Amino acid sequence: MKKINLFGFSLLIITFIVIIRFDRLISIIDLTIKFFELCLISIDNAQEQLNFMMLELFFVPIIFLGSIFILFKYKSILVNLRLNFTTLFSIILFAAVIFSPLLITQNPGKINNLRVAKLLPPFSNKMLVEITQKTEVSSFEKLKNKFTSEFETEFMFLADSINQNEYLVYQKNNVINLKERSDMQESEIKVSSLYFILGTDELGRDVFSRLIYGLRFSIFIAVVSVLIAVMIAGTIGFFSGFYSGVVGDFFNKIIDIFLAFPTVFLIIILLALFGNSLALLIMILGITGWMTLAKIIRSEILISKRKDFITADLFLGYSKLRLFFFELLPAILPPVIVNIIFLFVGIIIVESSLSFLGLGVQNEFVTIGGMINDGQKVMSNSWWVITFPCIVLVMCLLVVNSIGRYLEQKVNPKLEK
Amino acid sequence: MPMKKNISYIFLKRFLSSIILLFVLLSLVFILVRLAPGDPILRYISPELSQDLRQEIIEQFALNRPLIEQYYNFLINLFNGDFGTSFIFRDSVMLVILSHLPITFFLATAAIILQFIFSILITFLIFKRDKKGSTFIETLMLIVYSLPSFVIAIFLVVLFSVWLGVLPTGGLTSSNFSSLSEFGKIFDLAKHLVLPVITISLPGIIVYTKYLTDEVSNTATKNFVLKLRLEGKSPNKIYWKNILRNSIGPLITISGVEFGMLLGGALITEVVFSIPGFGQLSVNAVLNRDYPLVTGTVLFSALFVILSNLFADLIRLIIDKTYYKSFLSNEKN
Repeated sequence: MKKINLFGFSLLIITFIVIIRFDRLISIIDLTIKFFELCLISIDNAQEQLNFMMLELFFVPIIFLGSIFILFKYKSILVNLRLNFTTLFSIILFAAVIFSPLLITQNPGKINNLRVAKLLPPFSNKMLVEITQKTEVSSFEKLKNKFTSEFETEFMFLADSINQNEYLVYQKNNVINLKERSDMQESEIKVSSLYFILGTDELGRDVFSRLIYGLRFSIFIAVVSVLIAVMIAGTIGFFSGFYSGVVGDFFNKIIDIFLAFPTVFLIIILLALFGNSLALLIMILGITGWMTLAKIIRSEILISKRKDFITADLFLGYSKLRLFFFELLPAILPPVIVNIIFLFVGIIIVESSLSFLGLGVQNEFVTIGGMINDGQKVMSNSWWVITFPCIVLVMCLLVVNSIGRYLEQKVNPKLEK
Repeated sequence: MPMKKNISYIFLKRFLSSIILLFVLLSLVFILVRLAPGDPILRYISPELSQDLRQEIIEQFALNRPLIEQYYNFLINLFNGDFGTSFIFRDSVMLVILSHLPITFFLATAAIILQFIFSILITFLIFKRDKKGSTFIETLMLIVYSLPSFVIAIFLVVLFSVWLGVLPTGGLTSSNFSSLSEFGKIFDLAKHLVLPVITISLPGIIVYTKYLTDEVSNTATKNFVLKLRLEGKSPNKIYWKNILRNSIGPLITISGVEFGMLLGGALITEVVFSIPGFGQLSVNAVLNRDYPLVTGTVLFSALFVILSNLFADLIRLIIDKTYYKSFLSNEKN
């Protein structure tokens, strides 16, 4: 395993994804082309069709080509890195996050027919029956429905088995005779099999698709919250460390007060009073996470300030802003980046815990904590709903943690291994 | 200056800063509750009711007075122990909170005791073996440390309750609790509390061990240890009698923080195991938008954190002479 380098492994993963999901990639490209055709005909009609999921799908080919381009651009670095636990899982998770619209088998919010798809175990296989009308429905809408519909329609539904000669569809105890439909004369039936790799949950939603989207969404929340926290911590840490005297003391006292504050309760009271919308949750996570980082930035600035090159710059008469951005910032950046990574881990944990308690974002968004919360209700008879989110969450935390520790050792060689 | 006077001076200073912190916290809670969106009166009456009744309620709750006066009343009420009436329990918030506290207090105490015992034992194991033997324990610790507590709780439930079927999945007592004998009751309670206590104490054990191993490896290189070794005393005896005593200081400070957090903050464990403690009370309060209860729980938990920090600092000041000296040198700067 140690002989494989990261470049080769990344290429392997990308080829693997292309082979496995080739049909979806082709239909995504097809959808994009059809959308542009629609744009040429009437731009208003195209705008009506557009939603967030569609936009995401359009970006798939671009992200795909871009990632291959970046891979080859940084080939020289990647070839020298070896495969181990951390890099293996970080590449897999990273691929899952950036290629998520390509990887999922179903819209993660799609509620399947409960008769067929309630709490299916992993690696289940069901029939997907599509009834296409030859003349009426335009091809673009059909494709769009396939990707973004949230409920089963009478033109596309799941079935346990199908008898194609006699037009009979079996859904557990329910038998549908397709001949009874009035529109059967001008329609044709297309049957394909749909795999639920990690099973389905209580509402018949595909766990695999939800898991990939949930991971991506949790990471998105954590990244934005970390950015907010870094901005606050940077400003206050800068003022408390860079300026001595009253200003520095004042900002230092602010950090101290917030450090002594029990953050869990701050989060809870804020959520209770202002509701739990997405933007607010991100703000709250950012506002309650910046204190330790600010303290570290302050102490790093205090250490760097005494160094000779800063004194030399001061005597050369540089402005304070230049001093900060071009001299101090590069000096304090490495330890701060390490701590930002650990802050990221902390925020993922807090966010997933909040979702787990039901205090996170609402049901329309998928998060890993929310999935674990869903799985806990059916834990005793269907293990897969809760196990896979737990595994992915733990993997994600372990990987980010070990990246942090690796960087910490690089930054601080004195640290024992 | 005599030493006693110094200690009381430092303690007074810590006490005053704690009170100031509590005051800031109270003000913040007051501001947040006032800032919350929505008309506060609508929480009590529906908008269809007459304007007279609305006016009456505004009078009754003194909402038409200036903010400063409202703030003053808020503080006075808090000092009298009057947190208002809970919406969901239809009872005084103070009484509701007090009735939920004992079980949480028990859990926190048990967790702290377990954390101390196990971290000292694990540190001893790491100290006894050389580097190679301890790497396994340290990797294991790092893995457990990066797990969120609800994952640990779920893992324990799956392992012991679903697969092995040894322990109950949650709750505080079995359904046939009242028919059991006295001994059976205690045994039943203990059975229900095993998994929660493990879940609560596991992350703390690792944090404690991390600090303690650092301190112990630091102390082990000191000259007095070398001298004792030269005198021919056994390493085990030196560890228990000398090294441990000189390294346990930071642990007391951390345990103060931990105890305060556990008293109010074992939210997830209590929810997963459905234990009717303080943590579950505060989560329920938030989920049901029970504002008086939320205010009460937040204030209580903040009070726990601040007080336990204060007491841990006091204990460490008395026990650890070097800490006391560092405090004094900080004063001079």
